[in-house]
Amino acid sequence: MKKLIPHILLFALLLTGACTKYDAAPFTGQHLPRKSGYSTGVTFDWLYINLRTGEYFNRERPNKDIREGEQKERTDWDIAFCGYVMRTNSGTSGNGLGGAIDMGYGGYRSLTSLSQLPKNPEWVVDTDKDVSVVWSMRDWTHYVSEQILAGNFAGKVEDYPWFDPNKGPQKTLTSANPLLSQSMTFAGPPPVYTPSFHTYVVRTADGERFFKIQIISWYDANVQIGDEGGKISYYCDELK
Amino acid sequence: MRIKIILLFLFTSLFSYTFAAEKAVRITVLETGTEQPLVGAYVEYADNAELKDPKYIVTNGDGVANLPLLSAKTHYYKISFLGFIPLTGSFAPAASSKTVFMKADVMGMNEIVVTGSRAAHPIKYSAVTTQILGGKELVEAGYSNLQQALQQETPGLNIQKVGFGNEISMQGLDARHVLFLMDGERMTGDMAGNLDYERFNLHAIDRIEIVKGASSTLYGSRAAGAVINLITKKTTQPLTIDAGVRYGQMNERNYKNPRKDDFLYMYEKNADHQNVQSWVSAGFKAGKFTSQTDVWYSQTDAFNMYQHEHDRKVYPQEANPFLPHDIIITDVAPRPPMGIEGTQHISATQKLFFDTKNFKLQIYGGTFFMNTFDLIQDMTFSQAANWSAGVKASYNVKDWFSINVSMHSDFYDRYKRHERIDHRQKVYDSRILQPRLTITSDYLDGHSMIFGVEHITDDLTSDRFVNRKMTTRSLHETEYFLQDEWTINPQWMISAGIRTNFSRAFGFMGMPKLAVKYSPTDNWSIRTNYSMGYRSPSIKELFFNWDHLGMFQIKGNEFLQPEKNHYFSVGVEYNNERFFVSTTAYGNWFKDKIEGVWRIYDMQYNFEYKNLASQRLAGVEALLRWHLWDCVTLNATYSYVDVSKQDGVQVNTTSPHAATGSLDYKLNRKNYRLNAVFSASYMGSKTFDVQDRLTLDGDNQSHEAYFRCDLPSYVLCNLSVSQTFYNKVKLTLGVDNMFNYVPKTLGSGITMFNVPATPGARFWVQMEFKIDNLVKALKRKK
Repeated sequence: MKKLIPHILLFALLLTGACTKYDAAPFTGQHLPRKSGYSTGVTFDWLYINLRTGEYFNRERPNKDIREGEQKERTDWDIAFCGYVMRTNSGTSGNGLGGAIDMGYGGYRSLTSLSQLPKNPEWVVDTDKDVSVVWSMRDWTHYVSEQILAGNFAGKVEDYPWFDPNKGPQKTLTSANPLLSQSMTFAGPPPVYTPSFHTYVVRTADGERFFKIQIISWYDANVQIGDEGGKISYYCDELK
Repeated sequence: MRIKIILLFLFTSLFSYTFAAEKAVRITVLETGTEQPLVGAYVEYADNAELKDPKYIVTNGDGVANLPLLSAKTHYYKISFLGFIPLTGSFAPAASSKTVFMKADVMGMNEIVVTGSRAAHPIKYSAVTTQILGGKELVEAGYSNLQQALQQETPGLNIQKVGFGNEISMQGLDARHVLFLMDGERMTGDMAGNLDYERFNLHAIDRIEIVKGASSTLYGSRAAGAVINLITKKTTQPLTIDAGVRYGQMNERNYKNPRKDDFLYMYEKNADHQNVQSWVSAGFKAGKFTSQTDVWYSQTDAFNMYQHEHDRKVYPQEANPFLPHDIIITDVAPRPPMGIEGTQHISATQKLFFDTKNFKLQIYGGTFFMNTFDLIQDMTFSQAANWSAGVKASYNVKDWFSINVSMHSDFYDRYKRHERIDHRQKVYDSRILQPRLTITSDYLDGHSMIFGVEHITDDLTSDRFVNRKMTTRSLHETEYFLQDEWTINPQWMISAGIRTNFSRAFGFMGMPKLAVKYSPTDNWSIRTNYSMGYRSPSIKELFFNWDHLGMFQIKGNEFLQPEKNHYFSVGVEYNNERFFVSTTAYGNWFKDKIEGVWRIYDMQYNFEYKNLASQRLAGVEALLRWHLWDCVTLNATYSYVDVSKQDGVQVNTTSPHAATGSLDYKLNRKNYRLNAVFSASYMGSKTFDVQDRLTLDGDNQSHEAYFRCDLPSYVLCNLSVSQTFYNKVKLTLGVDNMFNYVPKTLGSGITMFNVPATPGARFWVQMEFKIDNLVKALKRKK
């Protein structure tokens, strides 16, 4: 029996080992109500948010409330997401007084008041020459067909795959905020979305209110295993 | 007077009987230098010099064996102990005790090997060249796991990190052609042929036998390139308990003080586990019954590898005849860091043996759990769970005829586990079942024959066969093999065999082998070998059908045929008491080799498996062991391989040149041992081509193209210094990658990663205890 004791102890050690303890606190931030961007089948699938009221546009489906191009004239939205690419109501995206500044890595909790902002911040506004979004497969096929018909592309549609293993999916330029669009990067395959964890301050379309925002994850806290994600988790609070 | 004579005769007879039955000679077996007792040494003795009809006895906890005298004649003995040079001698019946000293077998020429022939032979009498790595020596050299040990000790073997985990290569072949066995049995749960190498507990290994070249005749599919057989420990002592702990410097601190309210708290915590290991190895032998238990726990932290320069691709005209000249493209985006996973794993094995002279029974089981924490923030990590079990029995029907039966099973599951919710989902389930019957006979003088039949059932359930639903695919193969090892005379030995394979999928195949060994003297051996290898397509290669988020598709091919190869080798070996050198030249010709290729159709890139054209691999390998002085031993290996190109394109990622070396210093003093090992492994530069698409200026259409990847040579050096006190406590300090080599490039593009996964120089400390000896010493003190 004495000789068996070490063996029993060894198996007890085995049973207690390799345990994963789930002790994370509940997430107190927000997440997008749906995934946006190319995987919905629409290349310019923008999900708009009015930070002042908390209202979402195109919440149910792409282009339901604000079609691409219509956002330019509207001042009832402040930021927008297409995948992880972001817009503010400024520059080439909108006629509002929006824009964004970068407050650096981390520091979301310590930024609590408008007085902490730089004295003369240079608000970065949206442009249409710096940021790309991924073509949806359907739109890419349509685009290639048009190019072939116009004589710009040679060969057949099948010769132009949507995804290239070495270069990734096909992309096209869009109007977006070049600063906020650095809040997350993509690499892959396998697809890896990495937030910058920078804290940004966004000016609303009316130019009067300011919100701090930090992108946390491509996934929401309750994402199912195997889900492709896209309901981006973020912190967002008003600065006064 | 007659009465007196009778009385005298009776008295003498009685005295003689008492002398023979009760008088015993006490032999104490100690290690040379440390004078520590060798517990469990095997003493064989008889009252004739030829050791006919010998008696056996094993030394006890004090290294003592009491040998009852068999007669009044001089007695002869032979003492064997694993890792030591066998000792022979004699003693007169009048002696009452004797102390003998055994020397460590530095040259390893007395090792017993089984892999090359499925029968136990001393290595120098093996017809097939076998490299042996002793488990004890690997631990003494300070290796933290099997991967590191194999890379530092085996010529031309390389394990690197790729997208899906570890990838092994050897003699220009990848993991699909290298068969890993544990005590002669295969395992499942591989990714592109790569097992979870963490399953192998370095502290439970008695020795590793490496047979290069095709061994399909004895081991079937996948043994087309090499067989690596890990032979685990079986105690010979009444009770032994060894334990150890190891603490290593962290690879990289990724997150400082993660907070529970951080969204990624679990992810951050899991990425930064301390580098810690602990293990216990316990066994006992009571009469015919032996038990051996081994448990190993290990965890490592994850780290990133960085490339400061942007990716640069060179498309040479040589590999792309349509180009007017070489084209160089530098990526506009910076290269993202390459995350090397942290792991947390535990393995436990239990073996029970019942051994009599003619009947042997072994029942075994093992389990393994591993969490793999990648640096991908996708809310999941990977979890593996494995169970294996089996039974082996052998019965000597006659002293020239034995029957062996075995049943082996291995079950491997892989899960995705959530990083915030206590939930996991099975994504992979693989199981093998392998019954085997072998009959061995040495009825004919000089012949050792083995006939076997085995069946393998291989089931794989995955969500990557049909529409992301868990679906099962199976392979069944039945194989027969026959081998005869004929020792013609002390100089010549021939080993010939054939295996036949039948499966419903691939029909009938036959694989022969022939090996000849010629030893003109005791010091020289010349070995030549021809063997045919084969590899059946894996279930993945046959049935995979996985759409990767619409980006690309990996497609199996149900029409694949097994790949076959012809392997030739010639080797020369010289050895004496202080010097061993072995050189082998080989050629390996593959037909219908299965490779994955990219093809475009249906508006998509498709990665398909195909039987490709032939491939030729040829090379030279050399092993050297030089016992310069009693305290210093030099080990060196070198490997050269040349792999044929296909249409001017080199797809094989092996470096032609690779070498390893180590310098081992040992100092033995009474109750003290010092051991210092400096080891180095060199990998030569590599040049290979990677399939890609290229769009030329002014042309919107992309063309199939190859870019050339040049990776520099590198050397990784390790140092470990251990001190053993009273053969009870061992303290080892070491540094891995002591010259702090950190790769500057991460390989070629997003589809390849071909550099060593090292964070740079890292220090570690290790303590080992012989618990049973310590307890015994404490009891004595009391």
